[in-house]
Amino acid sequence: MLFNSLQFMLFFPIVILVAFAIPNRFKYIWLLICNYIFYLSQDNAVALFLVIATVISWLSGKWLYRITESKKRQILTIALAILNLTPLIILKYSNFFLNIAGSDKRLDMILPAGISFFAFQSTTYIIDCYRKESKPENNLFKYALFVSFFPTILSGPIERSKSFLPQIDIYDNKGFDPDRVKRGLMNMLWGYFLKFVIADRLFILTDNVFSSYKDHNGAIILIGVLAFTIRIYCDFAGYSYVAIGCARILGYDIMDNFRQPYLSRSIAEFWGRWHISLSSWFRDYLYIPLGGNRKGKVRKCINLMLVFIVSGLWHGADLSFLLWGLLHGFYQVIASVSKDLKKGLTKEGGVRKVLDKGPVKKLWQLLSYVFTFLLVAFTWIPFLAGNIKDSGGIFLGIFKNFSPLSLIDGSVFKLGLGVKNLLIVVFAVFILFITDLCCERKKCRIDRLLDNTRPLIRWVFYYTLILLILFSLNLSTTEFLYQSF
Amino acid sequence: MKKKLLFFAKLFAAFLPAILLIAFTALCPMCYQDGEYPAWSYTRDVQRGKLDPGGDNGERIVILGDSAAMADLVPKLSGRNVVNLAVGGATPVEMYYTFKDYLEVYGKPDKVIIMFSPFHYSYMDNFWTRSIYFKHFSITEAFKVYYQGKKTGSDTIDDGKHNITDVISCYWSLPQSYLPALLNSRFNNRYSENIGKYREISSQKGHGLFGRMDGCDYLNYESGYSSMKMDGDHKIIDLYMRKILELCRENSVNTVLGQCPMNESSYSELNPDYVSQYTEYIKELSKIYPEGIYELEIPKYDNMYFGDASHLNEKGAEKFSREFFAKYIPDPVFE
Repeated sequence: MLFNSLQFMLFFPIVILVAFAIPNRFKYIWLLICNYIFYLSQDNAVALFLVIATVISWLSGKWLYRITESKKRQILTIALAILNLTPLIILKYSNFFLNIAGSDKRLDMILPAGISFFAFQSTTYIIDCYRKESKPENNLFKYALFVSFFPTILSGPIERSKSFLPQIDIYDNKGFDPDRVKRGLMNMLWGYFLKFVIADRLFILTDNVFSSYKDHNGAIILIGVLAFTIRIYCDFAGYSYVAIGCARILGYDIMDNFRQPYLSRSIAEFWGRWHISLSSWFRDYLYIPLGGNRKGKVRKCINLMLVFIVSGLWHGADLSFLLWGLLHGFYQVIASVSKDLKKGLTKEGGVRKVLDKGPVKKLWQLLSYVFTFLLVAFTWIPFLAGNIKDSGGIFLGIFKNFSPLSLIDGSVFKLGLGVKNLLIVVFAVFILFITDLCCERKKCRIDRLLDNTRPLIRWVFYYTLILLILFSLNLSTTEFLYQSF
Repeated sequence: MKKKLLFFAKLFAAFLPAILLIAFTALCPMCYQDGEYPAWSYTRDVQRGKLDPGGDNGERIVILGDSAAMADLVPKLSGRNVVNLAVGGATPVEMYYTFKDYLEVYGKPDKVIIMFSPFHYSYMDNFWTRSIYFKHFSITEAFKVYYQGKKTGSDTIDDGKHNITDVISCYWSLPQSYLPALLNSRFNNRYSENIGKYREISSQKGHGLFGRMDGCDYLNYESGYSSMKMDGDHKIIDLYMRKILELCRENSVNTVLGQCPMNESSYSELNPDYVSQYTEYIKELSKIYPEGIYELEIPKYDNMYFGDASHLNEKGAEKFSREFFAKYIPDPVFE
């Protein structure tokens, strides 16, 4: 059951209607049932993995909390975390490792939907219990609700037990609260707009370009890469907004996953805004335990590379994802090294003084935005190609036979979208850009932004979004990209 | 309470465009549906008693079938009270419910003529694109057919692309299902054309031509088959074929299972194995329901009588109708 499917459109109203109608103390049981209905509709053959991950991590939490000896606790935590991640490692990476080892053999295994997300979420709980940041949950069903929470189970955000579990027992916000429901619906509307209107249209274009990229000239491939850059943001952020909206309506606040990532001036900033739940997970549960930046500059660089290698492999068991992670790690290392260099320069030559002056500062900022965006866009190439060979082909294809004329000679209209849909997508991306700029300036999320907008503008915005979504519904046949990770 | 009411009022206002779109989709199908819709609409209107097929209260004859039956049999040429309820892409599944409704509304007819192209005993290729899309069944019938199709392993119903929510989407007239048609028709550009067709089909008592060529030597579907497909779709089609014959038996209705003509080109390309399997199937039905009249031979017509690969043109339809009616519902005019 996908968020963009009719099944979900029928399922969700039933979930909320019953949730609002039943007494507060039974709500978690109802939601747990709904979680499993949602998950079983997606992947009934492998739901057992979800149950196993839930039970293992729940028992682990209880066990760890009782042990007092620090060394034993540490070893046990590592062992239990690995045990909890074992199904993910085996099911997702066996073929990858066989491939690396040079074997032609391929194991035919089913990858349970959302395993990368629920495995990480339950591992978080084990580590939080070890760190005593989270108290072990006594009620298995409440814990199971956290692990299997349907808005987040398939594509995140990867929620933390310490923020989610206490919310189960807070009843004040579980009833029908018009404000809360309104905010939830606003998030859902924005999420569906990003998915239906932009991502699904750009899917047609990118699919057309990259299914036969060898037939296109460099300018068209470049358009494809830029379109993919916007598409992946709209697809994944769209999913996250719908998830946040659903959770909010049900009375749960889950963490933000995106904060205008393409308005970043550096790669480090980008990672503070993109897939926040995962990047903060890696920061808290891998980078800092590895020593973070506390053990010298070289070690910091190694740690950064390690985190991004793991992040790359988390996204997919292929060398292309590894390359994607390596590139991002490399950028971070370069940024880290150049930061020290920059500090030196500003001290000695007074470059900072020049850069901080009005127009130069603005130009520098603008260049930083554009450069970061382009760097991120080009780094998506291995991600979109899915294998090393095509990644190289696409990258070189941009520079081979680059014909800017094809940008104005009507070639872009022949990429599957046609004039009408291309104009719609340009208009929709313009709305996205303006909205992101406003959210950035006001430092708030879309629901807060709309709340503080004049009613007339707000209603024009609603109707624009609803009409655009309505007239894009027939395009939506695609899964959410991050569902496959 | 006031806050809640205000919230729902705003929610309603926000979703008003969606509500209006759904209402338009549900209430004005003639404005946007494609050219096949008027025929399906005519059949449905007759079977549900919304449109009187006309004629006196005397002898009544009903034709059930697919596009070939719709094009090849011209009720007006019978000189009797004949109504052609056949529609393009229909199989015995659709026609069973048509006949069932007809019986409920008008009571038993004197004769039923059943005529399907041979390939429609093996394939129900139009289930999603016509039967469900045009809401030929009631929603409960649609659910029933859907689950039966899944049970019998119908490749068309259980095609991996559609599921029960597609049925709901069509019956609730949701934009997911009808948006392409709405946009392509610019909402109402097809109204006059569709109404014109509907009137034409009504005046012809259900008959409508498909191909308009003055002779055609193209090969039809059957000429490409080496054997009759007996699994998947066939199982549910067979189930409903028997249901139709069962209904005829229960109501003591005379039944004629006829064969549509094929053009010479296709006929000469027919695989003997396919023909014998098909004939065997019809023979099997005739053994179980021996009270009916069964044609086993596929008639061969000159290419000049065909408007396309599978359907007779006006000349051919006139020739075939006269011959067929003279044989099975003799009228003094022809004798």
